[in-house]
Amino acid sequence: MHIGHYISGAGHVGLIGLVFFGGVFQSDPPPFEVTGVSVVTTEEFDALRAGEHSPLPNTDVDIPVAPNLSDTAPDMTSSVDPDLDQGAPDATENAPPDETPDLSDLTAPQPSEVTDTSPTLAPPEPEMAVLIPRDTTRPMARPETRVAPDPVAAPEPDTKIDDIQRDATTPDQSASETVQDAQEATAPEAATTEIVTEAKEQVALAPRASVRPVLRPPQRTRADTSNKAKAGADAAVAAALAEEAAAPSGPPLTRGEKDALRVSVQNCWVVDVGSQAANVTVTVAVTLDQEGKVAGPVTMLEASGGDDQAIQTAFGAARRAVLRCQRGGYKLPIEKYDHWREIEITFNPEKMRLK
Amino acid sequence: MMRLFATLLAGLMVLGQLAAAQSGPLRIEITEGVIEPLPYAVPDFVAEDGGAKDYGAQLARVIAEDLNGTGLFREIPAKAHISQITNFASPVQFADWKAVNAQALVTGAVSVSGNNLEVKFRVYDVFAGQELGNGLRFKGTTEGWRRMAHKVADAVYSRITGEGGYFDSRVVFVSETGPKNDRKKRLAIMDYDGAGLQYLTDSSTIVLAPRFSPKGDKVLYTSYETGFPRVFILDVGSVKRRALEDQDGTMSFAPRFSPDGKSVLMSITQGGNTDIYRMDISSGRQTQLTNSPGIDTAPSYSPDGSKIVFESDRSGNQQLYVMSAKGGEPTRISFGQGRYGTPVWSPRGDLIAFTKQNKGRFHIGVMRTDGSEERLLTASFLDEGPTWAPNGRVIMFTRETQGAKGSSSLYSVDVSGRNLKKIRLNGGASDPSWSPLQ
Repeated sequence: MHIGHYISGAGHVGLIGLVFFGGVFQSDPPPFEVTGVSVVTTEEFDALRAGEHSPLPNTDVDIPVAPNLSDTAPDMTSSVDPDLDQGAPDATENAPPDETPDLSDLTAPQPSEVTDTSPTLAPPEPEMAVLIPRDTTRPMARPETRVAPDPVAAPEPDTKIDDIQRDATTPDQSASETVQDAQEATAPEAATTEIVTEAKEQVALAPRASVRPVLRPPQRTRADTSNKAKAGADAAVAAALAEEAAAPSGPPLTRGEKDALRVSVQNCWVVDVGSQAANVTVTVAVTLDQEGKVAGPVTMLEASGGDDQAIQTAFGAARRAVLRCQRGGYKLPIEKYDHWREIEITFNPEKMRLK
Repeated sequence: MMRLFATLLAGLMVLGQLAAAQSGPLRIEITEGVIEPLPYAVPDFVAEDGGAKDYGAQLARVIAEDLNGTGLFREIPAKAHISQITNFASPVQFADWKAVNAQALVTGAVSVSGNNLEVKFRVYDVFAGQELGNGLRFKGTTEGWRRMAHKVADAVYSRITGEGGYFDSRVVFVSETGPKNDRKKRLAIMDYDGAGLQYLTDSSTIVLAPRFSPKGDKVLYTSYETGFPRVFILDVGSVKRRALEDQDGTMSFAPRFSPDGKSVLMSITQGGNTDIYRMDISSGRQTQLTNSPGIDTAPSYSPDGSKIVFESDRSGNQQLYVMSAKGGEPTRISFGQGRYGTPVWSPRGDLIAFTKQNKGRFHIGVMRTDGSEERLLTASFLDEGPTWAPNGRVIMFTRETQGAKGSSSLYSVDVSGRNLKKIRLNGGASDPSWSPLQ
């Protein structure tokens, strides 16, 4: 152990010596420019400055000569100009009397009617004090007949809401030769997100109570590692491998693709919240072709929460939702067809029930 | 070693879950739909003979008004139709009706033979491409064409919603005329939509709170013709009436039939105290059900006849209570701010409608039978006296406007709080009572 200390100490000493005496931290000075300087005497400097003095004043200026004035006054005679002698005018004894002009043909101009209307001026804005209400209520949503998860603002008054929903036309690059009449896009129907009853209209929207938070689930106990658990693990391995072999190949649908499908169907799922069918949760099976269209009948797999009549009504609403919103086919990635050929959709109206 | 084994086990379980998640059909859950009227089409019914042409159009219009009036349906106007129904037996072109977004289609035909009218119809689920139920046929007289239209509408409503309709029903109410300080009141009866108005009494005396019997053939009401309030029973067909309770020194009011129609609940005031009594109609025997120093009134049976809901001020404030139909200690079910009154049990049995007064405003509301999930459906200067439609889906009530010239009208509202609308009537009206489906 001491040998190691000695080796280490010697090494450190050598390193410190190299730092101080080996010029490790020395470096070349930065480059600089050199300019030549000449030394002059005081006389030479004064001589150089002599040419910079201001000019001396010049007193040799010519004095102007006064004019020569005579004492005799100038000749002031005048003469008549013969060209201006025109004689007096001849007087006439029978001068014709002044005739009064005949004004019978002339009609007096009628005074035009001039209405003296004062220009209309906009009344000046009165200076008003603005009273700010003490209590302000939040703006309430306009009542709409349609209640949907996504609110849609009411369209402009001149916008037509048609019974037939049309998509806006888009230029088709592959069929540019075909001239097609432009179609008017149908405005989305206005929707609100909740049922606003008359009693709710003046009530603030802020929630007065919130749902009690869910209790934290109990902590799991440590896994049993006995022989029984080992046997279970073997069975799990076998089941996992078997199901993996049966699973469709390729990557599964992403969360976004699943959400897009879900939103497509839910926009057509009409729920009658006041009916008994609103208590029914129903699961249906759907088979899609490669274009995303429903192939074959929509079948009910299971239902719960109501009597037979309510279940049939709930199933009918679910089936209509699937069939209505397929239109040209659900937009799903064709390369993942194996994953969405068979779909099970659960329609659960629990969140929409009247409470 | 044990740790390594546990880690391996957990990894295998995760692998198994991943494999399970990716195998089988794609599964999605939808929890949010839309609430909107269902678009449907009801073309004019095909006239199968010359005399039925007008009826074909009129029947279709009344059916459409019934369905549209629920707020659950939206008719696609005839000008948007692509297909025309010219033959009742012809196959339906579902593609044409899909194109106009009709989710349901009602087709029908009508024929007239003398004074007899025959109506037949079918209902289709357009997007499923199939008929909802089987075709149905009604026969009646030409005078009853409007009622036949209501019956067709009830059947259509039932097949699409899975619930009973309420269009072929009537409402008895108090018709009001004259100024507020000299108002004339008399009993009147009408179809649920305000058509077919008839009067049952004259306006010589004040009448209040009429109530239909379970079969719709009799009416209970309170009259002041003796100077004191007395409960009377009236036969709708013959308009004959008699006092149910005529004991001296008492006042009786707020009557309501039992579900079997054999007995009547009412409030009787004796010695300054008001309690609830049950009276057997045939024998006149009375049974006292409550006994408290407060005012117990406005009793209403549950549909199965096992319980009674009523209002009482025994707690110092007007609240709702539920007790056994045989009497006994009641349970208070209303605990909100304000005063609660005129409770009515829903025909479905799941809800109780009531009038609530709070902060100077009146509301019609509903709550569960245990008092939970209270929801206020309306709000105005004065709303009161709810009555349920036969299917328990719609509530009709009285709304009175403010001021000396204020008047009373009948309104209806869906149990969801949507579709609040005024009943079309000439003159004032109050105290409605909905009949059962006829």
